[in-house]
Amino acid sequence: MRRITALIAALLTLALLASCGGSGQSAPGTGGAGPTRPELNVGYTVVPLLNIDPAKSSSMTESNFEALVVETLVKVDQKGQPQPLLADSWKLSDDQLTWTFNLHKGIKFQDGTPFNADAVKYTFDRILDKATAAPFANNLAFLESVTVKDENTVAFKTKKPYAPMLSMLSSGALAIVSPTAAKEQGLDKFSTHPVGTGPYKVESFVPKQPLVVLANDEYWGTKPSFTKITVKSIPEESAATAALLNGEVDMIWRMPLSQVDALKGQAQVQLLHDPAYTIEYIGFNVTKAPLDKKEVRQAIAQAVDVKQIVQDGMFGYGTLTTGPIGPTVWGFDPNIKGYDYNPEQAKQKLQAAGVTLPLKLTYLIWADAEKERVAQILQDQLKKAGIELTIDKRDFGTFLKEAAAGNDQLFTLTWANSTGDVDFNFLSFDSGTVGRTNFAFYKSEKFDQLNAQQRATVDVKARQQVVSQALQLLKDDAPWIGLATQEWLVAVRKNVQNFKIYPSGNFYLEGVTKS
Amino acid sequence: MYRYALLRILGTVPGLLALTLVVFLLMHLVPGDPARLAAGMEASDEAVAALRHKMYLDRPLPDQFAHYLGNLAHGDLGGSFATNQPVAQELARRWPVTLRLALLALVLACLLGILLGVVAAVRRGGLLDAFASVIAVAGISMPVFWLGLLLIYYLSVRLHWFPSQGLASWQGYVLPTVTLVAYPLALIARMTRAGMLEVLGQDYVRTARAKGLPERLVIYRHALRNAMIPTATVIGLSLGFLVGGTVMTESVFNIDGLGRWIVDGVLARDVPVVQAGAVVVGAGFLIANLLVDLSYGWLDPRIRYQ
Repeated sequence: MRRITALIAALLTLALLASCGGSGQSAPGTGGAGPTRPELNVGYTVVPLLNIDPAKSSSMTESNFEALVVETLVKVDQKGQPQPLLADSWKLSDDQLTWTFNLHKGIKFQDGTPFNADAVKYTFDRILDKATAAPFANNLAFLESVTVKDENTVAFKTKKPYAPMLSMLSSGALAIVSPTAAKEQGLDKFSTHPVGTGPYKVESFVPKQPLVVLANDEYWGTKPSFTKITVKSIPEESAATAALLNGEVDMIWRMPLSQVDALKGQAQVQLLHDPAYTIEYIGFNVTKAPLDKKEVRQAIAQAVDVKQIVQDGMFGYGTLTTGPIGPTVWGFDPNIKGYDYNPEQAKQKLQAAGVTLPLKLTYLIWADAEKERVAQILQDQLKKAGIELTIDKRDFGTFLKEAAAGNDQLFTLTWANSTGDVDFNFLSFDSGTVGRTNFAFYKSEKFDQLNAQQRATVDVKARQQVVSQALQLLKDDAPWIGLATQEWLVAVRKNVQNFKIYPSGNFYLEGVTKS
Repeated sequence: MYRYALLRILGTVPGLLALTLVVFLLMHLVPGDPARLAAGMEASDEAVAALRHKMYLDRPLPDQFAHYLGNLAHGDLGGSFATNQPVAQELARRWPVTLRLALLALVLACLLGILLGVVAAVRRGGLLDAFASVIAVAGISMPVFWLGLLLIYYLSVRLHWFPSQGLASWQGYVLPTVTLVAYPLALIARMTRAGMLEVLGQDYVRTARAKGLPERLVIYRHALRNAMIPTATVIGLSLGFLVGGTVMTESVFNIDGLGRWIVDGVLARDVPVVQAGAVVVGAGFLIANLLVDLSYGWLDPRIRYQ
């Protein structure tokens, strides 16, 4: 008896010690709204935030939430038009090489450092510095120099005329950071505590842990409506839904499709959705026979019923598109239509191209519920055209490696665009980016030439014509079958009002209230 | 016994080394490029190559392993590929969370399981025995994640009694603990009941009763202790379950603990994280089993260690 009692006592002590020791997880602002302004709790299911230094971020989600803390010179509005943000106005020189920006006066960074032309120059120098190893530095090859004209004027000189300049400057990766803080903190600390001019300042953040931001009361624009915002990763999809329904979070950013049904009929929750820039596509590895013949690719494109894929594979949450860009992205041409779905004709064309049916192909995807659904629908559809599709499912890391090495025939991928300009989408077709962003291994001199031309044509109308030619060429060469523009799905509790979704996905909370 | 314990502890060292090697080889044999995953899709080939060099991934495997062991000897677990944070720091934040949850579950499973088992055996065929059987069957057959989701759906989404996630308050511990406790509790209850039934029929129990000992003492002092050996073994086995169970519980309840950390690490090919995680879990498991082995002698003094 004594020994058993001792055992029980020992176990209880252990349990007690265990539950007292260590700090564990701190309580992220549950309820308890302040007297005047409320707090906002945001959950998200996509890859957790790791690095929130705008120059070092590599995921879309990081960029989206950084918009709370840092700001860009230019902002693209919901209609895709460039609008002033940190820059009040801009002018392009007659030789179309120098863009001069007049900066908004009297803005201070969250650490008190004044925002001025030096800060802008520092931000770009920092991104281009090899030691920073910024992923976005690649995209700035067009830039000749950044010059400080005076306290509030900065000039960007480009090597050639560069049409996408304004949308480029709206990219979250080019947000302006405080030179003082960036220098003092170094890359390590700045990766978790970036300092910008935005409406909220970072209170605490550790990779994968909740990001907590507080209102920046010195903010130069409309005063922030929340005292505190907690952004928290909830990777398990059903856990995210439960947290939302239980009121532990006010909204779920990027609600997974699998949970949409669970929210239907829930009076306290509202599902918002708006198209993003991101496009989902099926790509061909154009170096693999018989996919190296464009006739074969065109025929396969005809055998795919994109409408059904979007309806059943993406539950209708996607804006149908058949080309390489969707209607949200600048450069979209509604006159260029995709291939009509016609499996019989596809079969004939395949035979005419000298393919013996059944044609056996493999389709490389990664483990993801939506990708798997789409793959199964695709498999059924292609069967009607005499194509036997084998689905090759990998985890994402392996998928990327295989696709970049060209060890595939058909593959699927989403292409995110952080600027809303077609120039960004064309990175997937440029012969200079093969195996990096061009997973189709598509090489066309004519396309490269049109791409260079559209980039250098500043006049909007003339540029659209060149873009349309390029889009037509991509339709004929068919390195991709575009499926749909993804939609941002955001589930919001009804007490949060006026939340607006921007195509870039950036978190701009101006006007959002919580009751 | 101390000599025995010391030898056993020393004996775990080669086991842990072997574990490290196996995990190391597995992580390098599976396809996927950690450098590419960490750098992101837009990064240039040069940037990825630079990162690969920094991660020490461009050297031959034996070199990499030697490098890892060398650092380990200096107490340096390396930096996470995905987050760039020191692994030791990430580990320090997470292991107490998981240990607390697992210990809580284990202690509750032992107390309630043994109690339930004893009561079921003493009241054999009665209502309580039937109740215990239902609990035992349900606990063993319900998958962890399913039980977790059921609890969340009914007790937090529908009734709002408990938070659906996190361990921010004591209420937060209730659902994850219940989820985690179900299986070991059932196992321990069944084993205790079986052990008790066997022991209660023995001569010495009859003798104890015959000499007029109160029934309480007969059961708890004489019968239970002798019935505990198989139960102790099962408790050791439950630890293995708890390691797996916490992974799922942490996912379902969005708890940032050791289990989820390791799983994320595997998916991101975060070699230093997975290695450190495997060693810590492995060491924990070995130590816990050592404690179970030592408890045999304590429960039954006839057992000697050599």
